[in-house]
Amino acid sequence: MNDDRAPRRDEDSSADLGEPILELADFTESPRPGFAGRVHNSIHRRLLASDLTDYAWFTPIRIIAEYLGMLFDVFDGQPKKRGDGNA
Amino acid sequence: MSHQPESLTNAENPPDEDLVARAKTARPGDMRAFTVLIERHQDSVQTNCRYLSGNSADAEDLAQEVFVRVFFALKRFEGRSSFRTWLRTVKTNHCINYLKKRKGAAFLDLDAPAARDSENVRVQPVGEKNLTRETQRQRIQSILGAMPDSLRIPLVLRDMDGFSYDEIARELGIGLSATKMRIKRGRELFRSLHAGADEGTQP
Repeated sequence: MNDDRAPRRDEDSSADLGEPILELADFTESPRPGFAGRVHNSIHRRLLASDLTDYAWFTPIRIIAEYLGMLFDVFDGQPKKRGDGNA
Repeated sequence: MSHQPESLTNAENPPDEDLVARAKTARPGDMRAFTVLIERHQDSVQTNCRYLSGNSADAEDLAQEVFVRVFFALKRFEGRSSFRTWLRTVKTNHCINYLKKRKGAAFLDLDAPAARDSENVRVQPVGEKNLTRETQRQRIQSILGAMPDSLRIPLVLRDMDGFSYDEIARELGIGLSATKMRIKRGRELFRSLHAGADEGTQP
């Protein structure tokens, strides 16, 4: 890729270029004031949406993990042996 | 959340690569380095988005989205090209995808009626004999606005953005000779519209 904003002039014959064409290289327009702030707001909205999506994914997984943990606690993590509790 | 670049803009004028390094290592919420990058490149991105899309109403949204994409991709930017080159590639890809979605993959069809009729395109004269910088800017705006997509887009990529012919051919998915032909025709049309506007300003 070319690093400069100006075109590679060696690819063009001098007849191709000229006064009005060369003006295009320096032609810029400014966006409305507060452009950077609007970009920030857009980034923050995406970050918030991403956090909410993560939360929505991980909350059910956390709930299931907690539930399994409770089950293991109830049974003390040991499977019952056959005949246990019967005379 | 601080939106002000503060010390980064006042005393220093660090190169893009330093700002990228600072933005990558910044704490969450610290946007100062990235804000300087936005402010440094916003004019060229906005201008290119406007004339690649041919739609001034959508240009700012496109430019905003380019910077949002750059922000989220910044961690993956390895610095093998300059930041300006990388930004230019992100911007061009985004604008071309926008055009493809809006107009279909054949948005550069040289046989489209607008392209065939390009010789009949006219630009309103700006109405002043001695052109100020602002008047000249308005003239270029109206000339680019009057050009068909098929000639304006290659011209903008070449003469505003500085892409090589090969890069333009790749970006637009057309052959190298077709790219050169379009740029040549685009320049001819731009030049003739410019001359036409000159005649319109003669007393």
